[in-house]
Amino acid sequence: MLEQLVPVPDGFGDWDDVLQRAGIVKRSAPPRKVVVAAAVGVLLVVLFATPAFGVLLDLIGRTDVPFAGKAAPTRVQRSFFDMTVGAPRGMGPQAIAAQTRRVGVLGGRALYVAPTRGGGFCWEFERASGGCDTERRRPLSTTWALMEHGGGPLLVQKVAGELLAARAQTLEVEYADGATTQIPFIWVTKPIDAGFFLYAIPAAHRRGAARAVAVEARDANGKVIARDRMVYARPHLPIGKTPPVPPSYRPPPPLPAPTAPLQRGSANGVSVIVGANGIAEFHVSNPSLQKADWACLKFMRYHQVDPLELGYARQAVHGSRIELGSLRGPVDGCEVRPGRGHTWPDPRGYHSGAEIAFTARARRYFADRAAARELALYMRWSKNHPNAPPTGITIAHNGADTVYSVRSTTGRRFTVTKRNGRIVRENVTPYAGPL
Amino acid sequence: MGDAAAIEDLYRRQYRRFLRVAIAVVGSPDAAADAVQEAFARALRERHSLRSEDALSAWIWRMVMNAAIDQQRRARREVPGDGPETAVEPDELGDLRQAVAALPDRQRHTLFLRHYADLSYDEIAEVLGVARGTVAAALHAAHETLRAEAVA
Repeated sequence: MLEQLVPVPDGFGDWDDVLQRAGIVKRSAPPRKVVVAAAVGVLLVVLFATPAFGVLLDLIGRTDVPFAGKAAPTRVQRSFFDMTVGAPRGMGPQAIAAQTRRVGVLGGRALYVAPTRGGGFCWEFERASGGCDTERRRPLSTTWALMEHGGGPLLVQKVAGELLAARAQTLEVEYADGATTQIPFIWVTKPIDAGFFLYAIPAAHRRGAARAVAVEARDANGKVIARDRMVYARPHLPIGKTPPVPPSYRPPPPLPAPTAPLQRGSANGVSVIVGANGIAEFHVSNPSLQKADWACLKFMRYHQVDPLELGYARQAVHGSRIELGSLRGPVDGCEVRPGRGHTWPDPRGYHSGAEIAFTARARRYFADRAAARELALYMRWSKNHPNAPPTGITIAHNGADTVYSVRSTTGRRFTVTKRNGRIVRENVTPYAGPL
Repeated sequence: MGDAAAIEDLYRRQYRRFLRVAIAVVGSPDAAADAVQEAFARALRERHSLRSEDALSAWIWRMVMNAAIDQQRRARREVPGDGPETAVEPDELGDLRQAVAALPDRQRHTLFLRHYADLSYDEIAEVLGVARGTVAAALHAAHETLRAEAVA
């Protein structure tokens, strides 16, 4: 009944409105005439001054850049790497993460691209939009970021995407009222050999009669060579209702059994068998862990300190097996973790519900993570509870520094050093998240 | 320490949950949407005061709750005696709405955060600034009251 009282609302919100309310001014596209005038002016600057491409990309149509430049930060490399590891086998894009490059900036967002082993590519506008294309089939692929206003129709607030039509010289957004806006895009040379765009739809075109309806690419003669249309039609359901399950729906077929060589382990009423085929089979007899989530972990490149962990929410698992995708055996360990998380002080301790280590490295990791969690949780908790007794935490004063520490059962010491109330040094973040 | 991208990510991923709880508190979908927008705008402005990204979710939930409660008070002031927007609904749903509206604020807010936001007891405790035991007690009392209403 409570569910019916306030049904799940529809809508995607309006982030640009939040930015405006926060007083964060986003640069909106200037009128077209101004763009032309500005581009001419900027061109002179380019010819006679400096190739400051980074700031120019928003103002001109197509910008060709080489697949070169600064290597991407580890965070981005790691996210491209993880896309393959976390995907079901054969479906990962196989990005060559180590070759990820920062090739330009558009709409204030850095563009990162990486080739894939099969001749495709992955891309990301920093923390905004991205994807991978391993097949290179569609000449123009657009991601339409939608929003809804007051229960009205869905409207596009941002477009981002990739373009494979090498002859494209201009890219335009077309609106329902017939107006068009030329938008900038970055073309990256081989092996990427593709263009990328990211554009926020102006507020004037976030109304039904003037909403964005298509993105199209034109060649040097103005001829449309690729077009991607936004399809607004959607099944109309009352708010809060979920679509009916199509009659053809079949639950997924059961996963195969783990294959040899097998890894076996058990702890705290949970046993697990992991096969070389990337299937892990869990058996949970501990009643308190029946609803807990399942995961396995492995140390690998980009995950030397905190291992890559692939897990499933319990309710998403059919049967007793999970597929670890590219995280195939041997793995370093598996765990079962209640979704409730930990607080300080946690009477249940700082380990997950069941931690099964197949390697000494995983055993050390579980032990160190528990110690790091304890200290991290105390540091977070004590901010709002300054009088919280630091049970189990050692506090030492060293001049202006206060050093909080916990020793893991491995002997490793985790510390957080505060000076004048600010954290100046710590080593718990890789294990327990930022403080 | 608060990262604008993390705030934006939270907004995009969980907008409907925030909106749903805000609607439950405020009553009006439009005013609730406004509360959510204001809460996130404030979070962006004050993000540097957040010391731990781990606390981000609870911090924003707290802002959304506060903004929704402000909206609710404002609505009460502007339209004296006007309750939440109601559509034609079955009697039992109307009864339940009245019973929920009659709960003390803490019980009602705890109920909303538990059922509409699916937050854990610990998370609710952090959002409302109360002990975990208080959350459990408030939730228990709310359930008891609603159960009694349903039976009556």
